[in-house]
Amino acid sequence: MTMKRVARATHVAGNSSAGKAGKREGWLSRRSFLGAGAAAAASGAIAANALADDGCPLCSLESSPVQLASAQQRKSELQKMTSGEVPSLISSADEVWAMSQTHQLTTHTRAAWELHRSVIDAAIAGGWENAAHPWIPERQAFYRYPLAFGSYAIPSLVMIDEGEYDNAVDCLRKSIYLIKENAAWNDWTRNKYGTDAVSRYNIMYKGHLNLMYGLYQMMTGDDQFEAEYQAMTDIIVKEYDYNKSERGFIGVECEPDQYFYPCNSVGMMSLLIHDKVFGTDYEDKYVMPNLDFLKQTMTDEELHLPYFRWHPTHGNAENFVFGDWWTLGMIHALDPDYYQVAFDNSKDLFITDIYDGQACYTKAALMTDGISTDMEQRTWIFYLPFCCREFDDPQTWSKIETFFQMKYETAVADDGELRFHDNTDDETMMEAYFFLGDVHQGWRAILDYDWPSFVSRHA
Amino acid sequence: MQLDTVKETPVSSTADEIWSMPDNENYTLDIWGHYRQMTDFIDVVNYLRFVLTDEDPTTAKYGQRALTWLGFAMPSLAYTAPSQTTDLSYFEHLVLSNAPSDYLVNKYSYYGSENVSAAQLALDAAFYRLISGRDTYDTREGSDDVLYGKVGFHELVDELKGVVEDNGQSAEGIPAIDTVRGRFEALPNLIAMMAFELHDRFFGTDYASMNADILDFVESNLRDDDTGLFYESYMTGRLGYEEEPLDSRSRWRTSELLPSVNALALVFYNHFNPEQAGRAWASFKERFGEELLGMTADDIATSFGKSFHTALGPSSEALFGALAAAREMDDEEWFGKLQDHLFEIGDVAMTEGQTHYRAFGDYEAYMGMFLTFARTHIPWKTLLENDWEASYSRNDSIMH
Repeated sequence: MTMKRVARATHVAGNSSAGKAGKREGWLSRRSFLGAGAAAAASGAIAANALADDGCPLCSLESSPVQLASAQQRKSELQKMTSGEVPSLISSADEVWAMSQTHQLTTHTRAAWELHRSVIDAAIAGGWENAAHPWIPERQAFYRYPLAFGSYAIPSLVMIDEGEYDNAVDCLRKSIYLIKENAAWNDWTRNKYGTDAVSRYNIMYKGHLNLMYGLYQMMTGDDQFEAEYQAMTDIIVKEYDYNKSERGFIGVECEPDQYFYPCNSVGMMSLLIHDKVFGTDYEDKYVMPNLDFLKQTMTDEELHLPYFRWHPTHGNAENFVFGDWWTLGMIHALDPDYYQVAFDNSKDLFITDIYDGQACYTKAALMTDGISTDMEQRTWIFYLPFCCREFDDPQTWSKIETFFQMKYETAVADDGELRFHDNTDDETMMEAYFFLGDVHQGWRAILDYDWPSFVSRHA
Repeated sequence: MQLDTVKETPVSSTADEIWSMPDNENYTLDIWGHYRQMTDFIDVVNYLRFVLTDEDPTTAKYGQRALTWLGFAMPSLAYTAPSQTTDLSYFEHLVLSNAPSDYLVNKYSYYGSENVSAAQLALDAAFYRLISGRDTYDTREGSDDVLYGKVGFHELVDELKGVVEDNGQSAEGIPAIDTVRGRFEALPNLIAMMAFELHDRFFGTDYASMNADILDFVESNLRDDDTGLFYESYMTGRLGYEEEPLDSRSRWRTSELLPSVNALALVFYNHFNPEQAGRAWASFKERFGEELLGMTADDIATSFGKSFHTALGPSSEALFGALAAAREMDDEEWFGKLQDHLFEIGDVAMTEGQTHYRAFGDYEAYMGMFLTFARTHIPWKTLLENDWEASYSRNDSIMH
């Protein structure tokens, strides 16, 4: 079993054709929050970098007789961070937070948005194997998530700057085309979970699609996807009804017997948006009962942190907790006080300051102080800026953005797009998350926004 | 809320702390790392069930053996930390629903054995019944909730009984389970005997009445009288055609005593004949101790995919199996020596909350999974006498 991190991501500066991954073996393709780090370690891809104590703040992380390779490896990766100055962010938290008043995108936001558009346009124009931003087929199951979360940035983008309307709608429409494209879902059918990806289970896919449909119709008034949207929502609510009446739980599984908090949080948001668009009462009928079920079944009573997953056959929630900033960012609006507790605890448990609090890293697991290595998806570090925007936390946002800027040597290229000079193929389409992490206005603000007036202004 | 418990668990892998885990009802940090690795592996196999040959050819070839031995670890992990029992029942369920898949067996490998698979799956089914109290895998019938394959405890022990009877009535006249046609070994017979015993316990059947004859064959024909240790295999020359004649003078037995064979056999033999197992364990340490403690990382790294019984090979089975045997024999001193050596050569690291043995090469993850069993094993007698019903409905698994 070998795995070499030979591939670069699709938007490495000056290396636009280097997005092809080598043949990868290992436990890689579970989903965005599983496997890759384990595979890297399992395959021996992580070398034991025996670094001398160089004063790096991360040295103190190792307190175990068991060597913490994660810390060692990260020390190597972050040596430049120890020797250099902590850089100023391309755009500060103050600037990012001020966008809702200035109605001007910051430099970083503009660059992330331009790159995201470029990635989407390239896939539409040249297919998945396009020259500018080719995909990595081995990471097929990862693509639906940035397609979706990049789309969740679109309403906020136009709330900030209505001048972006045409480009925003174009990008969202294309993102829907792409997430409906076979490559974004056929891992489901290849794995023989069903002959199609939506009829039953797979809320991890159809929840996103349903939300994307909803956001598109909400902010455009365009009925291009309405028939599909209604059909998809109908599938989801019927599955809610069936699971409640026949199986005794509320919500929808991803794979059979695998019920995940985050994926249901997306399905729930999609139903709230459906209420906005069509005046249905799904909030009372499905969403709030689902929220109660999640709190009662798979949430830590004291910390309010979501547990990893729940299994209907055995009725057990695996009490594996992690920095689940996806879920917290998606579900906060449904019970702000309750999930504020969870967010605060998630920071206490999974975020550690470095450089005198100018930056932070995220822990790989509750039980260790070891830093997450190449498993950003596992700790969902990319969802943290979005979550900070949702919870109005510019301090933490600034720290994690500083970490990203240092780790990836982020810069704005001459063409105005963001560039990551030191990323790997583990960070699939990560610009979508940075884009969302800049513009997100909070789901309550999005839900309460006067979209009918907005639509009429752009009719 | 047991977060503080987890956070305060000392990070250690000394023998004493491993031995103390049941008293603490928690795992040490590096055993949690094994736990996380185990659950991640099972989850990925479960998710990728039909595309493993593309995604992970190693698991596609050796996944069943990796899973079945993880299945053997579940009762010990649950006994150690009873709050995890429901979660571990669930993972045993995933072992049983996935392990029979054709996609997890190298059908073209010499080391494939249907009888070994049947015995191991039967014991995993028994352990699922033991720790969950559920009947999901009692029979292959009514498999609505089972998605990927179907293990039936009743059917498996019946099949194994059929093997014993067939062999006993054939010209071989050996009432035991052959690993492959014409070849008999201790380990699969001992595993099947435990499955028979548990089936009788749960269902009031009489399969274990075969155990005396099976054990008599194993001890009479595969055991060295001087040391009490087992030889690897006993060959009858049987080809398997109808009315096949065999001359008992043509039978033969391997003549070398091997640490891999004995380490694994002792883990189970102790349950059936503790007195003789104790004698054999003393011989084992005397005869193989120096060899085991002199093994190098390269010895282990190249020892994979060369066994009927595990995903491992002779060297890794020997060292890792000896750890399990030391736990079964409640020999903390020797467990400590072996584990110290394991850590010395293994370049053990915790990455993403998972324990890895980086010096053991490309297959270290599979070795780590066998070590999940080996390092956490609780003597069978303790496990089988445990009051499992008290844990069936626990819903207080440790936050991790």
